[in-house]
Amino acid sequence: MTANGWLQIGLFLLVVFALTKPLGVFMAKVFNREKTFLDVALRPIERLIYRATGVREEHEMAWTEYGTTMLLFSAASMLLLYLMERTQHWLVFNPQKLANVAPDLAWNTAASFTTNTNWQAYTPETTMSYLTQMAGLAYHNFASAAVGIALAIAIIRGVARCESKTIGNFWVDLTRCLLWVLLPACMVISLLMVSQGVVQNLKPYATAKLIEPQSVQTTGADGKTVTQSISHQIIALGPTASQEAIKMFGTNGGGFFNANSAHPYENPTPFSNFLQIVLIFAIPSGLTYTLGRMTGSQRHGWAVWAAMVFLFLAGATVAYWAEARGNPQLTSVDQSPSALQSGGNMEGKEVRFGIANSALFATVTTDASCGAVNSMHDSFTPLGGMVPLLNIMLGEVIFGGVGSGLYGMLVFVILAVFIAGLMVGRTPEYLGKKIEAYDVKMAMLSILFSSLTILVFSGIAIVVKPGLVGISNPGPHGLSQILYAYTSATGNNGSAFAGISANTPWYNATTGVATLVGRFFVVIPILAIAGSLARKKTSPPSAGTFPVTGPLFTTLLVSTIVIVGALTFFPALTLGPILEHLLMFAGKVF
Amino acid sequence: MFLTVTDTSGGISLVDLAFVLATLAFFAVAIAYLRGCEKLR
Repeated sequence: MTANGWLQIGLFLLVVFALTKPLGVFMAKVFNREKTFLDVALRPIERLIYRATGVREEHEMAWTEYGTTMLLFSAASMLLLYLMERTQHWLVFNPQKLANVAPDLAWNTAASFTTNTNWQAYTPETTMSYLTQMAGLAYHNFASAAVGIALAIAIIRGVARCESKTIGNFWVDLTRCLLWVLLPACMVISLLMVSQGVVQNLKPYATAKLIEPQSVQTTGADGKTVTQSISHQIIALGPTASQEAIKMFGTNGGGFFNANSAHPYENPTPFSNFLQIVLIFAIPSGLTYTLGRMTGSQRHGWAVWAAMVFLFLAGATVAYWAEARGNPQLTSVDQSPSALQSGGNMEGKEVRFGIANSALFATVTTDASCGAVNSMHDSFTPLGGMVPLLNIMLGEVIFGGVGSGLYGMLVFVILAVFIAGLMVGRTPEYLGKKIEAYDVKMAMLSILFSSLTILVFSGIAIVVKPGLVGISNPGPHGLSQILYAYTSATGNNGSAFAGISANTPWYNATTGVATLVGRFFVVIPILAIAGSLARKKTSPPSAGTFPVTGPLFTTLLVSTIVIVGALTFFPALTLGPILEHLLMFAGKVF
Repeated sequence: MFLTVTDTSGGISLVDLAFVLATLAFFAVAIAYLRGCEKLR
């Protein structure tokens, strides 16, 4: 580890901190329908949209109506994307004449992008037309992010309101999120990306003549070795910058190119790399301030933020340490950092990003449910690779996805105050609301659906042939690949231990189901908690009230998250990355 | 091009119908689950 590396991590955290309040205040104003500087331009457009779609903006919804509307909207969006993928060959903006996407892959991708997962079992530049990328996938990048934020806001309203049957209007929250928060910011970010060299065009792919033709040996269909001379290279292009902005700001993560943010056309400079990492945390961090502002307890918002920062720093430190340390089996290789090399474990990493920025990106993208990568997590050391895996397993509440991180964290807040209540023998309270059996049942339902989906699917995949044929490494690393795939899908992250071959009917079907369950079966009980809390009276704090504002609360919250995560997943992690780590020191690598 | 049993042509097939129905079934279950959560209260 180097001072330079820590300086960059520190600078990153400082910028995220600086963005938290302005973004949080702005989002609170947008969703409270207070005046903002964008109203002059956007309010007429908003009214026009409501008039055209028949939305009554003054209509308030109960949690059941809010949730049902969200589900129907998601179902329609998913089917639309599926249709577009299956017919892209006959549609416009397809200069490479790419074929229609196969049904299982199209369904998996539709489920994945609808749920903000952006798991990509395909190579985008050879599979998706420009139309599918722009009007299908990029649309979902915006829509799924807006749905997540709308849900978080509805849940904050549930906490903030008192003796109310309603938690807002889904259509209004969705529209205002898109118009005020996501679209204007992404326009500016896209231009910033273009300024750094991220491509943005609709041209057919370019062909370049190689200065030095290459001879490549491949195995033919008859099993014989064939030598091919390669003299030209096809260079993929496309409308990348516009997709890159929402990919990071909306914590989507689906790359325009297969190499994602390791590709020089997606992430060309140190500044673009820094900007991308900051963008992942920007909205989730801002939402903690929005929580404090809308509930009237700013200190509670900061306490939640502090818990997230603590867990982030723990993950970043372990990942950076493990990767900077390198592989102990490479005894004859100089792995120390110097002015000429990053040192450490550079397999699967870009030389231009080095160890610190690769470890930081991997930690941030899995703390949040982003899933974009600038290095290959599969090539990390066993403990370095365990950090992204564990981050997702903890429920992606360390800042988390846009909206989903905050509402996931609120489940742990409910559990934390419940545990605190049990310890002192008082009815647990959260910001003046009594936490009752129904609220705790719903919180547990939400956590159980997520962990059950990961463990059951992984358990089945390691004993059936279609599951085992996908892995590229034997032993504990193979288990890690499978475990990572289902954890990433269920956690709506989308990154992968990319050695796994996931574009098979088995993985397309099962990870597709996992993404859907991980999004909708998790959020429905949380919406139920919001509805339940909104109905309750607020009682003033008494001597027995456990404060949800100080370091004690932050410590309890962190402990609850770690204990729930550890109890659920420790056995699986022991058989995967931990065993691999121990075997590495015994001289065996996978 | 339409409604072939296999998808070798890259056209719309019966498999598509299965995926569309699976999607609708999933969201129907999700709505039932939502109503179940409300009834638990």
